[in-house]
Amino acid sequence: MSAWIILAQAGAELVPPRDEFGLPGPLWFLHMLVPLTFALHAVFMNFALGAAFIVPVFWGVGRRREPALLDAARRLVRAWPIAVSFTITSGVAALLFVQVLYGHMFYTANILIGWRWLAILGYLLIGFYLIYALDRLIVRDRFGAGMGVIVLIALAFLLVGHEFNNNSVLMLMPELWRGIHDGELRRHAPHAMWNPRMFHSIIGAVAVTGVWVAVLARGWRPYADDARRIAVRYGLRTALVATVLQVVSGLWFYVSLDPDVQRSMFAFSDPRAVLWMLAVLGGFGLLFLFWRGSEAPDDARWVVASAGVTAFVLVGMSAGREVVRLRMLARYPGALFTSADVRVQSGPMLAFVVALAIGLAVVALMLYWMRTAPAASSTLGPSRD
Amino acid sequence: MYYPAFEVPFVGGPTLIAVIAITHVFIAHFAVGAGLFNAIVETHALRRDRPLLRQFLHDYSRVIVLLPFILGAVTGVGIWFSIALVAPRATSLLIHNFVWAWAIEWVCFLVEIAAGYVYYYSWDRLSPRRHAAVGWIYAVAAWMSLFVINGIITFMLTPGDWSDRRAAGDYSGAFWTGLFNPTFLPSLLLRSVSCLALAGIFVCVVVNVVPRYSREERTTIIHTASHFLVPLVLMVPAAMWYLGQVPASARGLAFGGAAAMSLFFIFGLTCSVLLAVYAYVALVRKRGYVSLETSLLLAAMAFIATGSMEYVREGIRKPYVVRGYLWSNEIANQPAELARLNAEGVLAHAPWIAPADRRARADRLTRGRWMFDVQCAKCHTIDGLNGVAPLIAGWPRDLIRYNLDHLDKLKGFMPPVVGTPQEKDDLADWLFRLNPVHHEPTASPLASGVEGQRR
Ligand code: HEC
Repeated sequence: MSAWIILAQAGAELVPPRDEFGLPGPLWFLHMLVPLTFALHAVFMNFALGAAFIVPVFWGVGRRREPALLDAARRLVRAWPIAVSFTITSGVAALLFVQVLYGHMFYTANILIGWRWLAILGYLLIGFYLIYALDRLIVRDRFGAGMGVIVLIALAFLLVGHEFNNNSVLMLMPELWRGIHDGELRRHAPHAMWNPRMFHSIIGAVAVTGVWVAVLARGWRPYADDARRIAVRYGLRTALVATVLQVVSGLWFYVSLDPDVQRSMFAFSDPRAVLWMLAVLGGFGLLFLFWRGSEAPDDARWVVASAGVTAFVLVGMSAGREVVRLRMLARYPGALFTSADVRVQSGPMLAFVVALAIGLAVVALMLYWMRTAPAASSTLGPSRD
Repeated sequence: MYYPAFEVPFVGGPTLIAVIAITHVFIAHFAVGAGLFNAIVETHALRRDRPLLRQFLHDYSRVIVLLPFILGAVTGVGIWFSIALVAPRATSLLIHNFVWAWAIEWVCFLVEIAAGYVYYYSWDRLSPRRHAAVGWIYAVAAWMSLFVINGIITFMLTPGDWSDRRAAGDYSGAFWTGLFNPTFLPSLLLRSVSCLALAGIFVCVVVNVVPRYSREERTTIIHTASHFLVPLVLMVPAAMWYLGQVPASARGLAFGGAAAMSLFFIFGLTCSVLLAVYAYVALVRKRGYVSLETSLLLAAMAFIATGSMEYVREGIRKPYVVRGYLWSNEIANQPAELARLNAEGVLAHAPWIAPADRRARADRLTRGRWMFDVQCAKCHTIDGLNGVAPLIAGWPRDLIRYNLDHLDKLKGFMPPVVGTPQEKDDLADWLFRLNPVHHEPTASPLASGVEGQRR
């Protein structure tokens, strides 16, 4: 018997029973909601983290030779808390559906991480309020103090990412649970995928934030054309560089996976795997789009195409994440819900779909009102005091 | 039992949840009330052309963006995190029964956040009418999120015939009866009233902190806000209505069955009524003024009142997390589950505390200690907070053993002990040996189990 099988058997005893109330919706629907809500979460979460890398660069370059970038950095900082807010909001949705499908694994990992998991709340609060402090500093161009605060924000959000990474890996590996519980293993899940997974998330965050810069710059009003041009160009160039690195970290991530998991990433019978493969291709496509877009920053179409493909890549990557999850959990009999566990609550489910449609329509209406409203008198929003 | 234990030193897991939850409820109620306050007052200000009130609402909306949107949101996630750590099975139960309710609540939350930011950033961009409309969108979305979440919270105490409907295979029906359960409406009224009051109290704080207003302007704004405190008098009838709907045993706990609970309950209600009377007499009628110190005092009273009421709501549910179904120690009061545990033993199903390989060679005291860890440790420490050792000091072993068969009768807020007779014997042995004075001199061999010793 290989060492791995012995380990896995030890872990199998610890896998909690699936919830006796089963799944309140069809499997396909829940399996769709998990990656979709996660991708939505990633759209904002990437900004929340990535801004900590992009803002200092823009600020530094901006105050030395490119004032438009300093202005862009200020506007980014002004938008940052909103991004964090939506990171949390969308994160709640992702958290809901992860609990439906994987709650028993997820909670166990939470508990094993324990206080460090709970510390995420503290990191979030610190990061969040520091962004408002940063706003005051960057408006006054207090670079030194600003850098100090940005380092703290970056640290806070990286620690959040670190614990989520821990949890995501740990919930898939019951073979580690006993050792961690008894204090024989470090809580930092010792799997080869841990480091590349973390890097993949950080670099991806920078890339997506670069796209955000270009998208936001197209919408900022009033805004001088050449300032807009510079912001779009720098945004997409940042995204381009990060995406090149992302190809490398992605490859590293892939080779760190167990062989059976790697094979399942290329299973054409699994729509998730197909989406993921398309997303990989999309990632290469992005290299082209970012390059063209940064060469022609006045042409809105490149920005729109970049944003669209980036969104698709996020969805596809989230689907790939599900492939890994499902493959790893399939090693443990009973860890995954099956169609026999389904107890559909059709009325409530429909109510959710209707509520979602209404909610999105209302949000769209408000955004439309904002877009068609005359520009605010002050370029940086309402006064601060 | 099925999950590893998350240990919170000194105060215990439920206290951790309470601290996070009470903070969250306080801020979230404020967020809902402030939404209603802004919508109502902005509409009023437009109709009567009162720019002072609009100016104040502008300042007030900044507080919403800084407090509920940050601390409120993070503590909201904090509730999720802490309940999953402390009571994973209960969390799982709620998720698998009510995820669609939570998803709807999430939509409300999303709209609330979006509307809140649009509201705050569009004072000088949208036309006043549209701006007021955004205010109403915020108010409705925020109140709707309270509406939904109120259903899930009240479900835990009064699940109605949720369980029967589920057993009959009517999953949608079970969802709706569970959500719109007997205490849904009274609790919604209690919470809505508290939301309005908190909004009014926070106005008094904010108006004193923002330097821009003259004394006279402050008085005007405070006068407007004070009307939102008056509905607090409804707390008393609403609380009576609420108590009329809860099961008799739970009502008993609030009225004398547990002294602490009754005190908190009366205290919370009195605080609310005093605030209402003060607001009506001093502020509405006499157009009085509230200084910063006084408004902070009012806020503190409101915080304590909120905390007390939440504490009572949690407390009267004991020993259940979901009444009739799941006990606080995460064992389900279900015939099939109990039969299995009583026949096969609890420890055979508690792999974290009693791993299979160690189970075989464990001695009686070790097994007794494990029983305690599985079934009692959620509420008791050994000799710290609610420590079991002092509670049983002086009890002969026979009395302990006897009471283990009648634990749910002994004190209303304990579940019965589950397990094989042998397991209960082991637990009795271990409990008996906690208070060294009462050891029989001959029983020393039993004390050898290392894991059986006190930690
Ligand atoms: C749901 C929470 C809860 C659980 C689970 C629980 N208890 Fe208690 N228990 C209490 C509370 C609350 C008290 C009252 C403490 C007091 O009176 O100060 C109490 C009191 C007691 C008392 C004293 C009773 C008396 O008449 O003075 C004993 C003995 C006791 N518990 C033993 C146990 C044992 C053994 C277990 C595990 C099998 C257990 N309890 C599980 C909450 C719990």
